[in-house]
Amino acid sequence: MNESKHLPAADLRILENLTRGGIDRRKGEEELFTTYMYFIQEGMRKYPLSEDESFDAFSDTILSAIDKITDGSFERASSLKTWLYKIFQNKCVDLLRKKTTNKNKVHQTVSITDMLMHVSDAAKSVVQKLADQADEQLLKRRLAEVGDTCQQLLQLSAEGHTDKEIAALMEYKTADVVKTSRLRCLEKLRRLYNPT
Amino acid sequence: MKHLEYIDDYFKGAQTGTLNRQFEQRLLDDPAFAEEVAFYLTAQRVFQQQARDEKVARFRKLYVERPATPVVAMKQPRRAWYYVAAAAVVIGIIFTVTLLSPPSKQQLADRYIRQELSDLGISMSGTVDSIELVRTLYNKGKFSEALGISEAIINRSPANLKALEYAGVSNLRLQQYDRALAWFKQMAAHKGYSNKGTFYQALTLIKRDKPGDLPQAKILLEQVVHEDLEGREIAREWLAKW
Repeated sequence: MNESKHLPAADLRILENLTRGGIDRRKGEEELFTTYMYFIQEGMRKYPLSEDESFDAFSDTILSAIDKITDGSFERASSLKTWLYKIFQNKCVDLLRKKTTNKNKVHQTVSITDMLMHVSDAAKSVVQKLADQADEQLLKRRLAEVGDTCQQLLQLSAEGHTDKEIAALMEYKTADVVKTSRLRCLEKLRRLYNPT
Repeated sequence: MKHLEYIDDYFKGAQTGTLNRQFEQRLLDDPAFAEEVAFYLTAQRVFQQQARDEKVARFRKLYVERPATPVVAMKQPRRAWYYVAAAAVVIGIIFTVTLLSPPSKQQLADRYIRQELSDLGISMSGTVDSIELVRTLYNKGKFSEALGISEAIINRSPANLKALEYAGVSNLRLQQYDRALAWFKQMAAHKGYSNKGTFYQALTLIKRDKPGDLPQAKILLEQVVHEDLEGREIAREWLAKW
């Protein structure tokens, strides 16, 4: 469904930047955040949230929105403001619920079973068991040791940027060079994480 | 890592029926292959989390550096004098109310964190040691990683005041107040060295805001002033507005 013609020009510009990828995507992310960051004050006014908490709810809102816009699941049936505000309200309520049940806020990332959606449950279970034994904190510490360039390569790729986009963003000659460098970085990380 | 390229191609490419069946069979038949897939996927999750943390740090910077008054699109008034007069009255009322009502304790704490703890500065020595790495990670908004390295330093040298401070402020920024308090208590216990441990405990209690936290924070702030500890100027200012 594409009803973009009803959207304000500013919304269209943000959406276009976010879906274009590369450096435009970053511009779109920042414009989306700054255009609606006054929601943070709304969160403090309407809910018993501190500034930090309201900021967290709003950041989560923007991160979810970016994911939905870039994967095409934002249907453009309402303006960005209306849509974002609905997400923001839900995030504030979630945060309040978590506060009262003493659960920490966690930014959601894709689960391992979601990433393995095309394989059978038996195969998923094998990988899940192994992944459950992984030490994510150690992996994070090792990631800090692979160097800024490697970190940037690996993060951009995990965010969904193609090797071609990364080549343009990080000034590599070709997408193939990006792929080779990315795999080398991953290998280096693997060796640091598990030297055996 | 002989399988790495194959695994990457599988997750980055089109997952067709035949490819899926081959991939699945290898997962079931070859434990070393399954282990590499588990590593690959765990790493992807960590990278995504890091990328999100960095984005949030960028957003925080944009928010902290926002203009003093938000820019809101206004419609042109038809009778300007009427609206100007009404706006002046409203602004007057808001101004008076704002002046009369002191900032809440939460606002004081948030302002302090925004102004003093959004950046730990950089060392001028030019050398890169573990503490410098903690600062760099923290300044990039990677609080979990900064915390991990601080904890490793504390394990090696439990009296390292900088590591205790950075572990505490990292927990504070992650809203893990109980853990932050534990680090700051350890820090404050080092009486021989001037440090902000007691002041940070008060700050954390204000942020945690559980029953009894605010009176306890006030006692600690008074202690900071009476014992002439670090953070006394801010403590004095906050107590005046308490």
